[in-house]
Amino acid sequence: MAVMHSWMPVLVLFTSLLAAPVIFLLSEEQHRVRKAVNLGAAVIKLVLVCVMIAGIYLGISYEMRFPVVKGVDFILRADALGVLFAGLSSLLWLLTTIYAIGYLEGSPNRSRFFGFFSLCVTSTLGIAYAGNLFTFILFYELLTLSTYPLVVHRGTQKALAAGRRYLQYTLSGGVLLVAGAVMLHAVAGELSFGDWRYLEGIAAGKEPWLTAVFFLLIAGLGVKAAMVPLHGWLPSAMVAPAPVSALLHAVAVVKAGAFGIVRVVYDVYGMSLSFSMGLLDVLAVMSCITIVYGSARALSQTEIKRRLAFSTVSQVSYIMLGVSIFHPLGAVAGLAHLVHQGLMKITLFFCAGNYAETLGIHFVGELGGTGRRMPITSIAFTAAAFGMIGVPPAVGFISKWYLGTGAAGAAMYWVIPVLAASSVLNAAYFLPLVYRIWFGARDEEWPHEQDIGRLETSAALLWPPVATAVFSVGAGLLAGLPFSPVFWATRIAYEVYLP
Amino acid sequence: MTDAAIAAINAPIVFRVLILSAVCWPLVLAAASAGLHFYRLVYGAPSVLLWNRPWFGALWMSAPIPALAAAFAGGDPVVMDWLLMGGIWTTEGMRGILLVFMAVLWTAAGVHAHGYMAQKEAGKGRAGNAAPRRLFRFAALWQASMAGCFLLVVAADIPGFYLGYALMTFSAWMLVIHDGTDAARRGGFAYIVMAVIGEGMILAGFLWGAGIAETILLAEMRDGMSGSGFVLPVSALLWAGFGIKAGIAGLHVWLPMAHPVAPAPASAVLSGAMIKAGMIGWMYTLPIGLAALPALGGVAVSVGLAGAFGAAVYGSMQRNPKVVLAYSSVSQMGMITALFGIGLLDAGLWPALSPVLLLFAVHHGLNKGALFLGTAVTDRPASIPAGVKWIGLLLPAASLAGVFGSGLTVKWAVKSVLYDGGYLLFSFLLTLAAIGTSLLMIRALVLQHRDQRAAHNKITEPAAARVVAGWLACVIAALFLPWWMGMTEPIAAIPPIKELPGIVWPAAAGAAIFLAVSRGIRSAGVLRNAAREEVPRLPEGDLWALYAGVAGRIARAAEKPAAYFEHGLDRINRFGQRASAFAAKLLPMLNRWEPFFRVWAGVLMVLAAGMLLFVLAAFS
Repeated sequence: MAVMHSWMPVLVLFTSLLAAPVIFLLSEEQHRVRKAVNLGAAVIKLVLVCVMIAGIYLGISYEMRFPVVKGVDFILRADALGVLFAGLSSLLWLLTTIYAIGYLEGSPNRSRFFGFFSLCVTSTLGIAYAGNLFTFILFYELLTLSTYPLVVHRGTQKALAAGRRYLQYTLSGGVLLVAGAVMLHAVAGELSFGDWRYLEGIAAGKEPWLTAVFFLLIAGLGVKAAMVPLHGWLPSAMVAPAPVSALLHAVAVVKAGAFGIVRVVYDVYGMSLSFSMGLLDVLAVMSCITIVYGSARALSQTEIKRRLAFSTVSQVSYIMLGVSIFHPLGAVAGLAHLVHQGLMKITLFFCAGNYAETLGIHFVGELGGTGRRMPITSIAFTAAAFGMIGVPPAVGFISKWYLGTGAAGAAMYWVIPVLAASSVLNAAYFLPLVYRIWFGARDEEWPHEQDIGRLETSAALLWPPVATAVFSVGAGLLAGLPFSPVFWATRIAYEVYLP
Repeated sequence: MTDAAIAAINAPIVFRVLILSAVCWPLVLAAASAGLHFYRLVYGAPSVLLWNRPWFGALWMSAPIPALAAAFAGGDPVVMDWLLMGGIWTTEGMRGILLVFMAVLWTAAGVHAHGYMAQKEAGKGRAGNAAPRRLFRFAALWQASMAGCFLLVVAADIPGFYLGYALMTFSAWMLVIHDGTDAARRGGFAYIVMAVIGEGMILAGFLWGAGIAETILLAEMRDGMSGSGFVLPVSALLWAGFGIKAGIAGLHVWLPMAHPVAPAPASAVLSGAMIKAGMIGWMYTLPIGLAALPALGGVAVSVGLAGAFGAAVYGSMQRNPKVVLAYSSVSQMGMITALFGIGLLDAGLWPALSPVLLLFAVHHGLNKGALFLGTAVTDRPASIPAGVKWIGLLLPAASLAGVFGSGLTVKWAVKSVLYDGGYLLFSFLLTLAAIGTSLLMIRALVLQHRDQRAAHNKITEPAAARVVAGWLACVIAALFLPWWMGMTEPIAAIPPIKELPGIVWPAAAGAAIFLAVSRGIRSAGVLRNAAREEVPRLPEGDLWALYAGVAGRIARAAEKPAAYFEHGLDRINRFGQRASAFAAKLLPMLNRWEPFFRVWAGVLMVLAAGMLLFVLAAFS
């Protein structure tokens, strides 16, 4: 059994890692086999991750470790924080796969797309289960490389430019991250995640170095987490197909950056050291600037996906803000929002994709009358948008609640006006969409209508956003139940604050 | 939490079911109506006929019944750990009274709405399935905002209360813009802008207060924050946030724009029930009676009085009866705000003041509801005896003016409490404000009379029987209010006879002023000489234009620094691109060196090895 436990994380990674070459080797026409491999891998992965979540709940530890060179280990380990991210990614991966199959129906280069898609998820799960910075960086860079082909999938000038920009940003971020990790190794020696007590012990006299390393790591991770001013790649990457946007914004890329920052603060430096060195305050201010800036910029965007992209810039920083609040409730907020933001934002991108794919709508001004033409998609969009604003019972409110009460508990009162302002700004850029969807008039034809599916659009496009919208509302309404994101986040927060 | 959890086990199952269905039954009906709305979109099956079927009408009108039953059944708090961060619902204390009030008003308005909407939508002669589609959309949003209203009354936990408040606010937005006219869209815009600002302030207040008090319960937050050093900013945020809904002067601009443009029954619940939600928010959250907040109290008293007087003057110059009634709501809520201010100034007076304020709120809610419902009777040709009509219109108006029924009771109760507390000047000012109320009431009735005379000349059918029934039900409920409100024992239902002149004179003064002014205008010939349209019209929403202008200017001013910042980012990005371009130029240079390396590789290697040996030898 113990052997099984150490192989579990590897097994989870291998489900999609093995799927990738199989899919690459399939020809374009073998779409049935490809569908089966895709969905099979996604389902198996989800089941395995669920088993691990149950196992961790029961106190089983999953770890696989071997030395790469002396002093540097390759560690795959599942802890409560890791499976939170893994659970989110594997659940949303399944839904995104279904969505992508529907979305790319009949378009060229699907084998290439789904192959890299699988690699991308492999690396995300690797990031979730990485047990030290070395392993983390390995998968983090793999993620960069495997998403690039997805971003440029359409092959247009605009897509290639966005892809170039994406690589410029993320590779430079990677360099900073590696530099930080190497410096940390030089200062403190080999550290695996969770060894923060050791670091605390040797920190005396090394504060300047540790501060520099901290900000190198944060800057490196902040590129993917789209912290201002490192966010430039994200809005331009919205030219990618909708399932890729979902992947970038909710499942993998942005989340990997935010998750890395959580790891650095909680498991490398530890809460008390980060707090006593004053690093948290800086992180909190940076997050708040990002929150307000992203919302303010979203206001003036006329393209739906671009507006959503700036909204991501803003919303992902809630995670960092929660982490930087020195209070257990702040930790609950940051960790739960890791899941919450994913659920809401993926719904919005799915819906935006449905509008684009079914009706040819890309701009806010064209949304009039969509509520009548595509009611189910529109309900899902509305639910997620209200969630983003922070209206209960959707999950966005739960995040804001814990952020605000945590900030008050930590005497960081200035965070509260930031949250309120962000709510008002969110309303200011989401409600016009909702208003147009339900009350906007439509006199002319849709820009590019396709008659797909028996209902308003094809089933593969319709049900994933419905599922994620139900999750976004349900996980908030029933936040008190066991295994809700808040429940799990509370468990991790206890580990962080009461070790 | 633990005490309450034990109580939950004891809460009788019947009551648990009742209080749950008080909120959930309207939600179920809302979902069903939404289903019909969308079914209509896709398949086009149900029609206006379905709406008018008796069983549908019965279902529609059953929505507030569980709430009414729960309020009368009563029981221990019901705890639901699974809901949000833990929900506690109760009808204890003033919550029971408020729930009865809300349920009665929604019932009467619901009966009214069922007839009103059918008549209105069918009468518009819209093509094909537009009418039923709009009917069922209205139904869904109506029931949803009703559920929100009930939830915010019964929830003792902050998330639940905020959920109810938000559900009510956002569903009502759609009710305001239901008609889709330009005025409705404008009103809806003003409504949602102010509502969102209010939600932001309320959220901030809740997060701050609950964070300090480390609780999710409203009552514990009040206690916890009253002892902390941040009681003033937290209270100010909550006061202003709920104040937007309550229509306090300065933040009231949305109210006269949004209330009149909604369908009449929606206006009735907006002005009757929903603005009371703002006041309920104050009662549940502000630490009145626990701590004295002189600064906030002073602001509340001045803002309240300003609203009471200003709205009366401005409103009586309006030409649409519903706008006049909306300004009357601002004026009445101004009085309530000022009384709250007294409570904030003088914590000792609060125990006596709070039941009076509750009575005032319920009194205004039902009478204003009746008046708004009445506008649907007068904008169509008369269908009932003129005597009944005028009695139905006059009773609530007289009551609000303070010369009849619950109005007398409220006036007398307010006066006695203020007298006991020694606030004689303030009491006198409120009496003066009552002159304004009677002015507004007379103005509204005169305009309604004018409207009905105009309606006789158009070919429209008279108001449906359900419209009249709902309206009269509300009038009667308001009439007997002091008797059915269980909390009136400490307050005499009818003031002593010798006090009557002191209470009634402002109404008489208002009538006199109205007569004098209208005579004066008529004899001056202003209206005779100029066509009505040429007399400058005072816009409803008074300060809105000013706010919109200022907001626009700020937005334009903010564009510049934003663009500058964006430009800076662009430059950094371009620098990066130039750097990579430079690197790309270096590559060919390396290419030129390539042959050199290839030819001299062997020599270079020997040299390097030699140097290495030399270094090793030197340092060993």
